Amino acid sequence: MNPEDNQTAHPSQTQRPTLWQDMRTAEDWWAIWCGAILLVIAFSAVWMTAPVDLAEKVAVGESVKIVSPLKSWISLPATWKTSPIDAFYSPKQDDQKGTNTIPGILGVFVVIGLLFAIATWLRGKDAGEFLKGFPYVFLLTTLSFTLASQSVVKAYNLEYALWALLVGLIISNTVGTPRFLKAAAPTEFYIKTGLVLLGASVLMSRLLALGIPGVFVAWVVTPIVLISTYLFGQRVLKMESKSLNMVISADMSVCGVSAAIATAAACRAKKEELSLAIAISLAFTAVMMVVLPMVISAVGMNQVLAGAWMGGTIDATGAVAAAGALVGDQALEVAATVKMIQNILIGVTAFGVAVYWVTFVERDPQGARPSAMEIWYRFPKFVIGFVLASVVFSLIYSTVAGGPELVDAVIKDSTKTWGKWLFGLAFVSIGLETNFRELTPQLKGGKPLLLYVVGQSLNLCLTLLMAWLMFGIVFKDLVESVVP
Amino acid sequence: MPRSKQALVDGRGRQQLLAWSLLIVIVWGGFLPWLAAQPQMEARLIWLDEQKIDPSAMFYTELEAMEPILDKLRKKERQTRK
Repeated sequence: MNPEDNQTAHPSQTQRPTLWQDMRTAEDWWAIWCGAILLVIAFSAVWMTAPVDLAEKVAVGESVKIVSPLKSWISLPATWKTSPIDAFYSPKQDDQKGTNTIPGILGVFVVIGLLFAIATWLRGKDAGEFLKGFPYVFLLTTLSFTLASQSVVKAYNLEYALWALLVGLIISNTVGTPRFLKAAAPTEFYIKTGLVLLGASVLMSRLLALGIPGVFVAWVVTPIVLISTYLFGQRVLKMESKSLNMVISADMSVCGVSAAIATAAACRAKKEELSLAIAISLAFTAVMMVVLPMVISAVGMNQVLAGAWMGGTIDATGAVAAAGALVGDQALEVAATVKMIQNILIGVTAFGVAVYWVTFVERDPQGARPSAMEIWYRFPKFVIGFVLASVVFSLIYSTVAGGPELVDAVIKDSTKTWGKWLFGLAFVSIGLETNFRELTPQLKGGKPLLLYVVGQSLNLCLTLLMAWLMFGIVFKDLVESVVP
Repeated sequence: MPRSKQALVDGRGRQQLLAWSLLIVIVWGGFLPWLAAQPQMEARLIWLDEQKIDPSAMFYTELEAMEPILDKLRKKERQTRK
């Protein structure tokens, strides 16, 4: 995301590395290789231990639950209420099962540490330096996850990204980040690899979960709001940073932090811009998840419409579910499903933003439109890995017998948690490299806040209108059959 | 920067780090556990637990409450294919 770390300073065509050289050394390609290795390991483990008669069981309608053998080696600190020790170990009690997340955390430490050290070495960089700093960065990430897993913190949608940033910021702005830690903080590498893993969760068949009404609310309104907000930022607010404008527009219109991460990587936003966009999104989400259900109850809105409205407007997935459940079961189901359909939009958004950026934003204002080769050269290649992971896992899900069971086990028991760790490591790294003072110019004139408020207001109005039209008028009967 | 001034800055940095660490210990070690035990908050936490909702979930795959919805969806897809 940082222009200095990436390819925004484009060398002339004669200086450019060949595709083969690029594939062996560039961060974007290595994010694809590392993501692919983790996905292959995760899928092989599930595939080899799945029941032999899985296809037969599925064919007769039997419910099959597959658990990955890697599950106990991939963990995050658990939710805790009174003592942070419970995040790592709590003995079995009468009514509660015990937890021990220590082997799982150590397993993640070994896998990510080794994989990234080997990748660093193969890219011709100093793997020793990386290994020297990695345990400390990992420890800081573990601390961030422990802070984020306190139950009250979780209940208010204060996601781990915030605490990971805070932990990094505290160090960099008090004693300063030691040089040896910087070698273990390749922010973009962590983020891009995490995004390739996230691609496996973007399953296209789930797009039609609510039929055409869901597509209209999630896939028609969202791009309209995204583009309108971006244009408002450029033409009316005249925001200096196009990337900050884009990241805020995407996190507000698509699905919060995960969309912000993907878009920031696709348009090479600065680290502090991503931090700011996430902070604004989390603050507004915490308010919206409480206020929207109150408004809905006050006006007596029906549950299906309310669910579609909340699913299309509240940024974070968990907050959508919490707000939906406050209204009722039907609202929860519709809200969570609309948000899931929006989650799938992340891939298209990242791809579209990457193409738009290299074609229009990064081009020389006086020069001609860049050629196809130029666009390919500048294109953030990790997006290809993200889209490929989505396509491959969508195909496995839809075409292999027992595909849904296999894919769910891969995602739930391994890739989801690896991805979270990679994003956690990335946010600690961002904090370690950010100075508070760098954030101040971004807040100048309150433009980012204004952009969010105006964009979200448009989102609330358009989503409500579309949800009412689709769920309440045009497809009313269809919706009643899908969500009885 | 002269050595004496650098030492002053270093010392101030360490003090600030200590102050932040102390604040984290007080908030996460004392205040939040106390807040979690308050009847109204406890009721909300129990309710979220029963609903299998983690409001801090970033993606639908992190949400346990999605499981019955996805199960339903899967069954419907298989029926349609038949």
